[in-house]
Amino acid sequence: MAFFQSIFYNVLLQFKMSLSRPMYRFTLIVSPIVNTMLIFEMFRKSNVSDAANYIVFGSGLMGLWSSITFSSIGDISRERYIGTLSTVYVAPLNFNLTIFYRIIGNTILSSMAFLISIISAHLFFKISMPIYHKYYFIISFIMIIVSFSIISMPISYLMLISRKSSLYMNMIEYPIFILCGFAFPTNKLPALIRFISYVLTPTWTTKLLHESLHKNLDIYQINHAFKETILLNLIYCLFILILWKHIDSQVRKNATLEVV
Amino acid sequence: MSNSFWILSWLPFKSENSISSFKEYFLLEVVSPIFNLSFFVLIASFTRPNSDLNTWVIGNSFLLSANLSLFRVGSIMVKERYNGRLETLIASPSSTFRFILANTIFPVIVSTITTIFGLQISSYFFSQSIHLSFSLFLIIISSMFSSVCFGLFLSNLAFITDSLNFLLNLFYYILLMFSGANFPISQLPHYLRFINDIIPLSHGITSAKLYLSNSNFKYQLFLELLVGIFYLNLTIFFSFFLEKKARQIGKLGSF
Amino acid sequence: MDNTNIITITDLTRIFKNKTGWFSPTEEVTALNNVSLKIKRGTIFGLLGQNGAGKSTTIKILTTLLLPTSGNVLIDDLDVTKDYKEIRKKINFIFGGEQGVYKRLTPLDNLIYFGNLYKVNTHTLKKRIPELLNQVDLYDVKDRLVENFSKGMIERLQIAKGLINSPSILFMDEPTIGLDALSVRKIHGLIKNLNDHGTTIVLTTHYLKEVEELCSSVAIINKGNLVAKGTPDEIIEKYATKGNDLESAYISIIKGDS
Repeated sequence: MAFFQSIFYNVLLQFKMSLSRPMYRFTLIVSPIVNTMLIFEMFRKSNVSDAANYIVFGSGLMGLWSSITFSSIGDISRERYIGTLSTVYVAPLNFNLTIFYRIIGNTILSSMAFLISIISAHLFFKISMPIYHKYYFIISFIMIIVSFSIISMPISYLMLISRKSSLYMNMIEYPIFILCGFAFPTNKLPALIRFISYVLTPTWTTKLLHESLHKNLDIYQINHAFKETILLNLIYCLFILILWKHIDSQVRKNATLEVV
Repeated sequence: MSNSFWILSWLPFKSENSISSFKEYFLLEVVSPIFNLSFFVLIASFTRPNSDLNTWVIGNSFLLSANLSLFRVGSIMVKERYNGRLETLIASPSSTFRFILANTIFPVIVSTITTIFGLQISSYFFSQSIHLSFSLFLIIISSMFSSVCFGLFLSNLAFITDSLNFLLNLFYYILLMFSGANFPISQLPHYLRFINDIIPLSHGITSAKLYLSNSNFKYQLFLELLVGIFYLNLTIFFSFFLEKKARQIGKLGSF
Repeated sequence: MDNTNIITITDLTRIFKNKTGWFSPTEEVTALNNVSLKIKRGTIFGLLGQNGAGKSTTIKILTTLLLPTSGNVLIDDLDVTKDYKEIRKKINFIFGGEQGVYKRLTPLDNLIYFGNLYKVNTHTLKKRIPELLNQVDLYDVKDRLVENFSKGMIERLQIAKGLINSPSILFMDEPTIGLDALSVRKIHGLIKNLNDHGTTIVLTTHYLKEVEELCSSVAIINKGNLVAKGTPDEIIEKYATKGNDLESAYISIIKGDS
């Protein structure tokens, strides 16, 4: 019970910390609105059958990933800059748990981007999103939160060993939009690049989400995307464990927790 | 142009984009914007499979400059303030106008190179045949001039607001939406179309599209230059006014 | 020594108007209240006071960065409000800490840049920059990036930057803040040397020993009011209660005024 209370308290604290930053509020609120408008205009007059899904959920996924890169991953850079990263790192509370709490908090909060996209699409373009199979949709959504949280962990770790983390934070935003098929199917990508898409969990959760929104469900596709998501998440968790041991020693070897 | 002018132009630019971080510069100014460009061109290839992708390649190549002209040039003053150099700048006998003008030179050169580079790479990736000619070069350099002047104009906001980063991001979205790079302006409601007329890059993008379709591009090129000159004048006026205001209210820096 | 006044401050008042919210009333804060002061040419003048006393406001006004609300300030017979462009050619300023220079440039590039900003001609600069770098002991590292410098080295570069236009008056805001003893000694040596060559120096600091060592006259500001002025000896004699030093005099002045 105390463990869950601790999670709840830390996640709540993260909500407050993130929301106190004007740029986070901008990324969380303004980005999905603009993305919805932009993607809508790009899809207007197109013959894409499930355009509404790409407009609404594509913008939502873009907003979610942008907010995550700004908060979960950008936090490392900010804390290094203001000099608190080393304190958090050596504090008695397990550093991995601190990062994990933050990522969970930020991912849940950042998923608000979906709500903002749905509202914007309805308000500006009268697009409604009927959810035909709510349980599938809810499961897909939970898988998105879990998968995006898990993928943020190793990226946050990598930010620990480089002082140029703010640069890399900018570098990982659009590649994920492209590789994971947020606004177009991954089969539009060249075959060589598609291989990278397939090892990224957001690709499968995006697919899962799109499939769960169809009126006539393709159970085979849903199962496939679901299994791939679970499998990749397990592999990522294993990778996180191995990576942490390496990062922990590198951080102390190169003293990268401070600016200089 | 005097030697002194080049020194005032080159050294702050060199400091900001020093050779010691070439990798950083290349990733941020070239690789990252090319990802942005590819994203939008890929959406276009999905939504309009039978259209000529030239339009999107051109438009988004011009937008590549936004990182330098908007975010870097736009934050010149805030960086001067944050690093405690704004006081020296104001209290030196050099005019702010000279400083402003000096700061346009290298960003225009570098963003022109970035745009040409992006244009060539994306033409190759998306199998488009866009050849650089003198006219296209002229359109690009004029657009970069107006884009840098717009960035300089925004940099003045550092005197009056602490939320510059927020504003620069907002203006980036405005360029993305209203420059005509990703969808025709005719799709927008009538009351919003004027934004396209007053922002940088939009006339340049139209001009480049007209040039590629062998139409008369000169009028749009002239408008792009006019937009640049307008923002340059506005920058000079505002910096003079804001410097005066800052001396009155005492919010100049951290001194 | 020339005995004329290089700075004359008469009834200087500066009021700041602060607004905490859109609908809250404007609050007026008097940073300087009817301050009158004269600084002699060729001296090292110390401006003392607690944090928020009005020292920085005074320096800002003297360096043409801030306009007075009322009163008159003359620098070399030029008015800071009207003749600020002329004044800017005659003065320069430096402040403590690591701000104020381009860290990703070398000291040489920094001095070339600031020399051009101060409109020093190329011929003079070519001669002056090596001289300055030698003077501040940075000639051997002139091609290294400033970001690799220690605090003391940056402060010495600031001094070279402050001297690039050979100013008649150099304003120094806490130039030895956070420096080690050896660096402080070097900076003190530089200040004395500059003064020996005729530069008037206006110095603000919290280190009273520094004032005793360097300054020939001193003014103490408290809550925007000028509460004491004179030579360090005069102030010690008039105000010191416990010890026979400036610190004792300063504490008794500030306590007596609050």
